[in-house]
Amino acid sequence: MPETEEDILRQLMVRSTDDLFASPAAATAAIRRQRRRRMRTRVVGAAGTAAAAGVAVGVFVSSSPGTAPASGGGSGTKSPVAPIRLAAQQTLLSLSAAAAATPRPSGRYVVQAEDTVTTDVYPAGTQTSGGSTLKHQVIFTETGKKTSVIDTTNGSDITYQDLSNSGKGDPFGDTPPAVLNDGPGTEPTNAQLDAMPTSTEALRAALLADAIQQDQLSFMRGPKPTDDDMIFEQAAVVLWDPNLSPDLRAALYKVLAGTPGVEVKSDATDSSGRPAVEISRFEAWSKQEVEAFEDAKTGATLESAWVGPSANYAEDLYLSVTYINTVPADPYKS
Amino acid sequence: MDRKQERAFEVFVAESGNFLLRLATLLTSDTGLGEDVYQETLHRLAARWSRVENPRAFCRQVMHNIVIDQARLQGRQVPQIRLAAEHDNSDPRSADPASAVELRPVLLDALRTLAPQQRMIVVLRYFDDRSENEVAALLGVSTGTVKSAASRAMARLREQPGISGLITQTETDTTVQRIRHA
Repeated sequence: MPETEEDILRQLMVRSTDDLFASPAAATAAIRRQRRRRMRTRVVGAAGTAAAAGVAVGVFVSSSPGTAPASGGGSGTKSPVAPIRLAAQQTLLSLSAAAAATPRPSGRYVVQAEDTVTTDVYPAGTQTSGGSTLKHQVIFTETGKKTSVIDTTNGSDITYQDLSNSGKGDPFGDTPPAVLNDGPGTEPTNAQLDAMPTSTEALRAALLADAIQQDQLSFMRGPKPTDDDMIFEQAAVVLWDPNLSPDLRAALYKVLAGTPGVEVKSDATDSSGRPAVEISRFEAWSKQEVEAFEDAKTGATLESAWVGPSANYAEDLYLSVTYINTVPADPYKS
Repeated sequence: MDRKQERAFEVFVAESGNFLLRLATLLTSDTGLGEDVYQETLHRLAARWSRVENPRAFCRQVMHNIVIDQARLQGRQVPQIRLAAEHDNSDPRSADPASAVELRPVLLDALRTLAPQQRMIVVLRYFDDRSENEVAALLGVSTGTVKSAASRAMARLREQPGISGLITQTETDTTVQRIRHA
């Protein structure tokens, strides 16, 4: 009977594939590939005078379209002359020491963070203002997972997110979810982060292995990243996590210090104007520069940016990272 | 894709990734190719995430395009045979991993005997539970074509000796389950 055969075939298909599980790294790899396409408009052509003066023009980072730029930092303040490599190493080792001396809170705590993201794409030379800025409040638990996010778009419309494995939350609705749920598992836990090696060579190998897994190089057409490209970017990605152990953060800076092509500017400012150590590296294969802005006193990451020579830009900026001892009674209204 | 969209994308992949990987495996009748198609589908989805209204439907369409494109490129070449042992994705979370490992090569071998379009129709109809109309719309063919192709595909599968044995085994399992539930 055809129905029976169809049912049997259905069962066979389900049973023969029910041990196949997608790797969480697949989503990360897709996102990373997209991020590389997000590039920052650089100061070029008619803006050259301003560029020489170290002022960012051409793209405004603002809370609402058409307002003044919030940033004088980022790549706009980048020196055209690469620092001396020895000085770069010394700065990074100082950063490593600062990170090692900054303890991570222990016990039950929550990290609240906000980040500003500007990702709109503007053809070079055609857009001089606008952009969208998203403010996020990210809640971390003691397990290190991002559990819930409040997004405030352009400072007015609020969209509540409830990242849930079960999918039973109210993702991207207009009402706050009732409970905090674990994220879908794409963010590393504290235990996973703590399991990473902290010796420089072992950490380089671990970062490279992670990057290779995530980048899926077989799908890349044209130039491909070198090992150093992947190690630097993977280190920058891991540094973005505010919940790293002091030892791991310190080790990451040592890895960066040993990566050929790294440039360091110790007197930079991030997009919000805060003093920062700017760590950057140009990737020849993608023709973009990966940048990280760090707090010299604590070794904490303030901003990450992906900068292209003439197209678009992307940056993620921590406005605040606050450690508190108890979970807020209603974190969605805090 | 901004961070908000990235999180939405991650949620979608967390919820649909396993299904999509399994769908891709069946559509390609190859675990390795299925993983590649799955990954490429995610990349294409990520590139268009902000403009995609129905991500699952988009993924189905992308997978169909990739599989058909690959089939056209390969033409009448004899498909390469992969060694099952070199790419075994079995996972201990499976309810019955041994069963899946045993069943998969036989089923995939049988699916590989179908034309790509037939395989697409069978998988979408019976694994993805898409209606004849939905499959017809996705593939750009008539409902009648879907019906006839599905019928021919079933007849072809019925001829496969390995599948015949599995059908017998499955019928036995189903009978046992019915008895237990009675």
